[in-house]
Amino acid sequence: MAVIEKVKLPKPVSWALNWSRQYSLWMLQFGLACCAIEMGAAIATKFDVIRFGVIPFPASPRQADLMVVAGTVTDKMAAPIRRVYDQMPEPKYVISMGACANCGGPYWDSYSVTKGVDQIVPVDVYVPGCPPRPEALLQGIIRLQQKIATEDVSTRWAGHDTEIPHIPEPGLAGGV
Amino acid sequence: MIEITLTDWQILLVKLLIILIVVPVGALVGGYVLHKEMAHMQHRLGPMYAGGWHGWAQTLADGIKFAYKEDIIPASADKRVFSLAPAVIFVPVLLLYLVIPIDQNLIVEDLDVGLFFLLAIGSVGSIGVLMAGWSSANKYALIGALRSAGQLIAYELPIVLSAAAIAMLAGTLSLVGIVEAQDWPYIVWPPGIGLALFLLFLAGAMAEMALPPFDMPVAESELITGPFTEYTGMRFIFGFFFAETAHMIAFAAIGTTLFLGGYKPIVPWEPLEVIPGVLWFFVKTSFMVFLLLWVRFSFPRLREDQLQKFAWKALIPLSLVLILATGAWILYGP
Amino acid sequence: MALDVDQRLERARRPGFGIGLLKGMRVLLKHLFKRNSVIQYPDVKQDLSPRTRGVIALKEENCTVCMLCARECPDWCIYIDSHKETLPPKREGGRPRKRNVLDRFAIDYALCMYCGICVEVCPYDALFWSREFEYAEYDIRQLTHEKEKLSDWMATVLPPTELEEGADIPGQPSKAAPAAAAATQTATPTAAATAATPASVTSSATEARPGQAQTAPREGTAATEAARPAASAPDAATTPAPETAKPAPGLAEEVKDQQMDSTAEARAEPEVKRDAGGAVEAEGSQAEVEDKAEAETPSTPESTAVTQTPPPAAAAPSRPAPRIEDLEQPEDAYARVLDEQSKAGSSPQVAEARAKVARVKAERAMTQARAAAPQEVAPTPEPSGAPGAAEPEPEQGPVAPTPEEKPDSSAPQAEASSPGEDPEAVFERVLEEERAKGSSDAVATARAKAARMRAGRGAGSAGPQEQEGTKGPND
Repeated sequence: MAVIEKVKLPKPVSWALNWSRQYSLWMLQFGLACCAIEMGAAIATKFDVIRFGVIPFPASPRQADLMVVAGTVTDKMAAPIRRVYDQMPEPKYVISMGACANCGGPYWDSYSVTKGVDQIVPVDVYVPGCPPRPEALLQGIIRLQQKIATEDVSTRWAGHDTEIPHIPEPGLAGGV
Repeated sequence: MIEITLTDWQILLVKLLIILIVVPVGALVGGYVLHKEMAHMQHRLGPMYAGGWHGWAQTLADGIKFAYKEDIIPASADKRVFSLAPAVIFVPVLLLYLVIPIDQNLIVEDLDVGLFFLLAIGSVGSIGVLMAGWSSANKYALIGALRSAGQLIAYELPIVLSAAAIAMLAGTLSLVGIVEAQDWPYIVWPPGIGLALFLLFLAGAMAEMALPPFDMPVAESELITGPFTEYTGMRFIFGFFFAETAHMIAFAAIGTTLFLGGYKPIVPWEPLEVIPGVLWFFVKTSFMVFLLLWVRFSFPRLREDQLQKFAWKALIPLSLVLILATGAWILYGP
Repeated sequence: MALDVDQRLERARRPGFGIGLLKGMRVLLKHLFKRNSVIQYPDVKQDLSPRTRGVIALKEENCTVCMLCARECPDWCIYIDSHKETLPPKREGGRPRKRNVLDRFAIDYALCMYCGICVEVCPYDALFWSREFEYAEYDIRQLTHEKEKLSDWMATVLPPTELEEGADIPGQPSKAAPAAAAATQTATPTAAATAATPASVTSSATEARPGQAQTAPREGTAATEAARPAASAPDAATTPAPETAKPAPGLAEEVKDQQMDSTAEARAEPEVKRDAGGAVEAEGSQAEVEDKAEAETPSTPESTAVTQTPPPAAAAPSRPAPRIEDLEQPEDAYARVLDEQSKAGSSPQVAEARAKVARVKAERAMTQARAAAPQEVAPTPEPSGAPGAAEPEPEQGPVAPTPEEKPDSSAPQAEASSPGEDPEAVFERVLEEERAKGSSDAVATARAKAARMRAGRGAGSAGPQEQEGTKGPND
């Protein structure tokens, strides 16, 4: 989408694009350990992640916008994660869920665990917890949506190396 | 009263425009209904935030987002076929809407061979699916495409045969003629046969659209997304997302036309005649969509061999028997 | 039963001609019109359990940089820096003292596994669990919460859970043995939810008696039962408080531990060999400490007798129960604190969190007041509202020995049950009382059942004991 990179978009268009990405986050579930259970809880009836427009249906990374890495990333799984991430079309986002995915967690000194999924893919939101509550994941998603809303589309396309735009300090209560 | 005279070309353009507006809007609304119905049947809420009021703009957001997502064509894919496939899937679905009578005179083109046209065009889409699967250079896509083709062949027959029985009863292939030929207890008449034909049609339609429980071509636990595994952005949304919903609505409309008396009132009662046929058609089609979705969310997926067995050993013999019965009814019935 | 299942399976396997499919569809249709069960998270938030492990808060003043938490942390996710400060001597010619000053206390929540070991091991109550869990970040470095932020979380820590009915109030001085009480007060953690029995219970209540000996102190006021053996009576009874206070801290620990599974009764059986008065105590004399401290309602018969006709002094509660009308409504408290906080310039999150805590406190106060309200009318004392106060004043100092032997009636007596009351009647009455107090149905029924059981047991065995009990305070 070379055009978007070069042209400065008028505000309404830019808003519409951000809005559509914000509320249409097709989610690729990369469940790797116990956090995946909480992710499942967030998807299921009690919390219903689809309310936010996070659609957990796509099985193929080609149709996904958001990858939730939930659980322990082993060195052996690292390569597939990177590969699946590469298969996703831009603009794409990653949520790292739980202590293991954030930085190894309880396996911080294990020989076989990657200390943080951010070593292999750029992570947009880190959700703390061991495992995080389903609500914590939802809050991570809300924060991601807040981030998307303030994004500049052209810089987004330029890739993840660009600096993450400034976002107001996170709070205790979260919320939209 | 203003008389507007339009040349044939202008009329054609207007008709085309109507189709091009109605179908995507219908698909968006259908997608939203799908989300909401599924959610509430599962004790959930479905989209709530997109657009404010109960997430009404969810499918719109999906549409916009997919329109500008990065377009990936796999390096080893057959690029031209790969790009063409979604169009081959989507255009026939659009064409289906051409011959469906929304009211007695509200029809884009009242073909004499309307039913024949429907059945013929309806199966073209599967060529697109085969193209998509083959050109993706992906084994899952290929398996999915082959399954889809096999499924189409198996389930086209029950649809054709049940439609043929209806045509026999009506004595015409024109869809308006079929609607006009239908009398009040629409689907239960002739006794037993009508309902059986309807169920047959329903099963065949669901299989042809690859809706669960017949969604083996896109079985995500086996084949990722089947023929659409490699598709992104625009192509995905037209080849799969819109096409699926539009196809579903089209088949709901066809079912309404063939079995539920189309634009006629539900019961032949004088005051009800005042209500325009469009509304009746809309109500009946909505019911059909609801029914299709309801069945879709109720049942788990079959296995591929069970699917084939079900078609060849149950549905097709049954439809043949029903054709015979229909013939007997026409000859010896009242 | 097994046959039933088999039959049912058999029936299920029979071809149903698609009826089963229709049944399945009917279930979905039914659910379509049912109310959904979604918790709409950012708008509606679940009321999490008070013990939710959301985030760990730091009370900086309490931290002595002992490093226990950092060392026990399985993930090594706590970072502590400190330096030593030398304080000038207090008095002329004194020794300068050294003090640890906390420079940095950080928890890396990206790494933390929320095991809570740090909270457990902290000897000075500097770490607390808070229920907040909403602190996802864009940058992993921000997940390392420095001490400022950890202290901010402190605002969201709930007040310790209400004491169980029958638990001791930490820090209430014992009248009988002030020294011992003082000793326990220091030992009793301020915020510990489980009330430690004041040491006086163990010390002054210790009854020196070969064979079976027991005392029944209540509410830390340490009602001393007389030591009974005629020979040893004067000596044992006159044992002064300081002496008995000696074993107190250790015993208090034990008592506390046992109280953890705090039913109304905790029993410690330390081997206390007292040498008081010399040669009086037999070898192996056992001091059995019965801690019936503040059983749900006064547990021993004597207290029953007294409280049913409460003496004027005892009627005045030490902690006057506030009237419900005087209390602030929870929502008002919330609004008020929110307002105050935002005026004071706190960040909105902190303000909200503090307001939430205020609301919880107000709610608690309301429930307490509500629970206390019927107590004012009813003759039976309600312990949770004003424990200790409604208790009879026990004798201090020398107690006249009682000749009768007191049987071990360790089980808490039926609450305020008059002797010989019919168990069913007790059940009904307690149920009524609990309802009036505003207990939930389940709790009320459970307590009533317990009371019935005790009454049933009491009726069988405790006839003489009840009589003795009534005499208790007078002898």
